[in-house]
Amino acid sequence: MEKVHYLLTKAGPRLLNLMVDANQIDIIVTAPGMLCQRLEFVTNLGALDGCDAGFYTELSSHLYAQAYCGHTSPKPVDISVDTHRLGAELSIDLGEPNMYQSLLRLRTCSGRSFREVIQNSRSLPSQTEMMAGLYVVKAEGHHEHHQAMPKVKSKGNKQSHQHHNIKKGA
Amino acid sequence: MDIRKSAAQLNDNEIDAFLEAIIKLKARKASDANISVYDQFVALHGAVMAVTRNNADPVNFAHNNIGFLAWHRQYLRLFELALQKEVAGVSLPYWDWSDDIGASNRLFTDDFLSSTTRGRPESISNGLLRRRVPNNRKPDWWPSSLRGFSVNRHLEEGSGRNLKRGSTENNWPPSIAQMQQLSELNISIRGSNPLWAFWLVLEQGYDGFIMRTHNAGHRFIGGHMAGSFSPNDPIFWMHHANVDRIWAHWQEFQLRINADSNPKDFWPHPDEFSPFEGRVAPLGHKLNDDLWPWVGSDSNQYQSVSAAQTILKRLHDYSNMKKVKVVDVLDFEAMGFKYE
Repeated sequence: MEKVHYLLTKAGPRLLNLMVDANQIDIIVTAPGMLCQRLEFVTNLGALDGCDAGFYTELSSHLYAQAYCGHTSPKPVDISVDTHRLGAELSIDLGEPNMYQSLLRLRTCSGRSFREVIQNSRSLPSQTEMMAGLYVVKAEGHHEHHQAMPKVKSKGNKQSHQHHNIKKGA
Repeated sequence: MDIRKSAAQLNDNEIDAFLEAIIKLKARKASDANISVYDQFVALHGAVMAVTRNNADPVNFAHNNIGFLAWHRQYLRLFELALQKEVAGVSLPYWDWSDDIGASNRLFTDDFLSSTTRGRPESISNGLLRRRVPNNRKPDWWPSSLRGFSVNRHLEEGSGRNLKRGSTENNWPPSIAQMQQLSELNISIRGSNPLWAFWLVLEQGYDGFIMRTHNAGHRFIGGHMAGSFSPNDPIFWMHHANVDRIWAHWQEFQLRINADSNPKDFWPHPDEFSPFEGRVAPLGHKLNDDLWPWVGSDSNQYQSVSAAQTILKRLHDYSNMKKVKVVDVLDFEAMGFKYE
């Protein structure tokens, strides 16, 4: 099987082709959590074409991903399906935030290629021509200002930035 | 003029002098805080990740934009001068990424900066960077106050106080040809200053072009080198000396191919929009911006919000030092060093 790798950087490509004849894709992520937040599965097909909520759930069960950030041991990352008014959404987490880069290794559980796994979904009519990829969702805010802080559980709103109130003088 | 040489080409005496300076700086207590001078430098690298001026949105003064080059040049030079206070005549060696055989045989050895490891981060178990160095392995110059090279407890980022490494980069090293290509990169996106593209490839790499550059190097070492306090690992200084060397070569290349030019021509005009963001560079990254924390008497306008108070209160106070702007670090020979 062919080897596939991508590098996500500032101003780099935001759409990664998933219709590949490989069962492993290495994605090097620059500053996960700071530049890039997560990956979202996107396709040109809708629910009436077969890409309904069941398709997303089935696809997520066929995928496995690990993040290698270098700072800690390799860790599995979440591949989740959320439902929205717009429809279902499959997201792949990028692991721990990192200043530099991490490696996200995405695999099919069966060893079949991503193209086969996607096209052979029970939800899709056979021989369906389609486009499928991963969209790079940008990170919001400026995560670095959490980065060198002690890891403490925040109370209340996760988005609050209480340490902005620290005294000046650095 | 200090001459920075390839770490793999240093002779035994030069290696010993460099290690002596590093270890002594690690033992040297700072005059203005309860921390070693070495660790003050480490703390600064974490603090610079998010800095606000007059409570505006925080900016990373040292990464993810063109100021990456300028900030680290100034940072390294101050560190080099601090080393020279410990051992006169020492200069920062650079880790030539493309000389992998030299690095394996000379740099990543028990006698120099200890070996690299693959996979899960593990404590360094040989050489002088261990947390506890056996007495019979300590050189004559070893400071009596130091048991080994332990990571400061405020700066260990959950990785522990033993210096750790663990590589997850399978595609290292870059080739000599790629490094040459990078030093002569001359891409001007829609007429923009060529520094934009050069910086992006040098700091982050670029798919389909050269991926194995600064960020990949941090991941190639891994462990503490993969965190905000990456200078905990002394390889950081050699890694960034190589980044700076490539920038220096690029500057020389641009001066060579552009008659009657000067170094300022190869930094975007302050009003030039980034071709990546469609706006001017952020604070600290433009030609005439001050480089925090070297902002002189304006220091009370700035505040780091990336580090805890326990760290911020240990930073060196640079308020009595002359301001340093981006434009001040473009001429590296004027700063007192060059590369062999």
